[in-house]
Amino acid sequence: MNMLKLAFRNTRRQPRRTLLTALAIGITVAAVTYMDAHIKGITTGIFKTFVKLEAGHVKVVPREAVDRSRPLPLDKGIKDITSLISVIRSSPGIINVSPRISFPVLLDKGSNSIPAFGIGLLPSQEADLMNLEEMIVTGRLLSDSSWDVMLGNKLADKLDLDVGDELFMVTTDSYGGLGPGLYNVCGIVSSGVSYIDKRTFYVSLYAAQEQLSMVNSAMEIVCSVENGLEGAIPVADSLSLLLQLADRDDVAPLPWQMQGSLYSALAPAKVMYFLIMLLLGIIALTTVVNTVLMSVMERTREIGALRALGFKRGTVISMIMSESLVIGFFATICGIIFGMTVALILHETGIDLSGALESTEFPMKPIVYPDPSILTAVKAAFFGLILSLAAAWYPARVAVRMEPAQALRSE
Amino acid sequence: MSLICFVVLTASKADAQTAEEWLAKVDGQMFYKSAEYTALMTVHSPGGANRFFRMNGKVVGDEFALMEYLEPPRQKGTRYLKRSDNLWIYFPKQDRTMHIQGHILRQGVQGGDMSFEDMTESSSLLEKYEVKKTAETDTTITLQLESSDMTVSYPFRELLIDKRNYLPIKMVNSGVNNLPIKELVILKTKRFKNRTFPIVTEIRSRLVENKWTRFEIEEIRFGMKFPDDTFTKKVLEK
Repeated sequence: MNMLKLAFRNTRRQPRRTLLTALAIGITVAAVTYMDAHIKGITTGIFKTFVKLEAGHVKVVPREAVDRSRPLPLDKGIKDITSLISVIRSSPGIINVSPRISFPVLLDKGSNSIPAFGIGLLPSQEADLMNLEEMIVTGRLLSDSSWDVMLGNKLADKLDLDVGDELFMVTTDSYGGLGPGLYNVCGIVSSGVSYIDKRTFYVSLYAAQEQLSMVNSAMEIVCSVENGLEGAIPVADSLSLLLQLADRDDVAPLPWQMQGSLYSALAPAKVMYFLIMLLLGIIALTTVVNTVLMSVMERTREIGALRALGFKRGTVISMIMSESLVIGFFATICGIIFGMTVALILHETGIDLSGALESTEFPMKPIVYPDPSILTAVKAAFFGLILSLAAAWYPARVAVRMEPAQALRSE
Repeated sequence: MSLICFVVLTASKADAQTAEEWLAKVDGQMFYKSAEYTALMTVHSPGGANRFFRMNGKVVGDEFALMEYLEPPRQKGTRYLKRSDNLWIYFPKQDRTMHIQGHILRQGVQGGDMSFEDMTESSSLLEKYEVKKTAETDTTITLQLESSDMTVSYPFRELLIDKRNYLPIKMVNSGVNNLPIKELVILKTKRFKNRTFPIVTEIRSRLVENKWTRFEIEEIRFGMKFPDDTFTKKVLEK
């Protein structure tokens, strides 16, 4: 307790130096706090968008598609989906099951062709997956068995189509022949993801099956599961066993983390975050070491006197480190408060990155919302306190290396 | 004796023909002024499944052709209209017409081995290919065709011709690297007055194993005269 009192008293002896030390620690902690919330906001946002618009929590795909980077041809789709859906529904942890057919098509616009991507789905089964109703800009939701189409807003602009217009398209069916389809535009949607809104349209599964000659077939069956993002892997594991028991070796369940390379592609982002944190730590460490060392050097005679009075080396080390810890403690609290406040404000308002994301093909919404949590604050506190202690270590060692007699003689 | 002389003279006359003359004969044999037919197309997929399409067709030379599916119900009423190099498809359920162009030309009709490009092609090979004779037997002659014209579907072709009727018993169509893409084999012919006509033809993919498309002419009449509006775009309406 006496050591803490001494440390408090010492911090008041050179207020400007104490402030400089505190600022170095506080700004670093604030930056680390905000960055943690920002990175978490970006990755969680990307994962949620990916799951919602593409992957589902778990996706059942033809086994041939598991290690394939390109989409399977339509004739390799999942057959007899009615019985398969019954099996999937009986698996524990599954909430919703929705078959989908994705198909490429060239849409005519005058003498030009616009490459587009159709998704045939059951809107009624997609409430917690690709919730088209939530995405409607104008018009209404398509029904499960209509020849209606909902267009991505940017695709609709390119095609110069609006609600009530007709869209005729011809694509390659599952036999390799031509599959025509005449649709009524019932809605314009916006997912918020530029590349998806530029080329995607949505039709009922029934219409897609008819147009592509894929009766009772689908290219994938998308599932939502209990416990959301975290629940995908255990549910996929148990579903895999169930499918084996049901003799459906032709398909395999994939949790969202194992679909494509998105999840693994974001691992370097975490490494980058760690490196930036390390760099900030080193910069702050240099400043703090410098100020604490100056403080030690100015008190050489005082430290010599303390040693001459019988203070042990450990006690001197504790005194200097406590001083740094006291500054670090308050600076860390201030840094966390500042970082969390900024993160919380931006969590509400969001950061608009639409300009930067316009031409990227990444499932990321243009508004990024930092995602601060208690864990963010705990990590930042841990970082600030470790930084304070690490910065004081070298000056403390310098202090105890002084011989008391020599220290007392110094000017 | 006179019979022997006749055979020898005929044979030596045949031998004397150049590759171009042989090809001109083939072109002549494959060309007809007009015809109307009913045919069954079988599309065999590598998995072993067969799909059947019955159709009615009207043809006037190389210029005009109109074909309509009679079966199966899903395709019934779908029409193809060819006018010179242009091809349109009419989809009755949607009441919409599509001009076949670009990449779709390379696509197989009903996923089979005959492409839309094959459909629009003129039957005259001599106009587009340099030809040389590569082999000859008593009954057949082999011609090698090569074209530097970038618009042809197949830069290389090899024809095995039956000397008796000038029909290509087998034709191998190859791509730019002279790698075979598909082969056309005449399985059955029928004599109509003064000409022999292939009535069962099979197109076999050389890229995908066990994939073929067979055309069986069930009924054919030559020398038809069709109404003036038979090959107009009016037929691409309900």
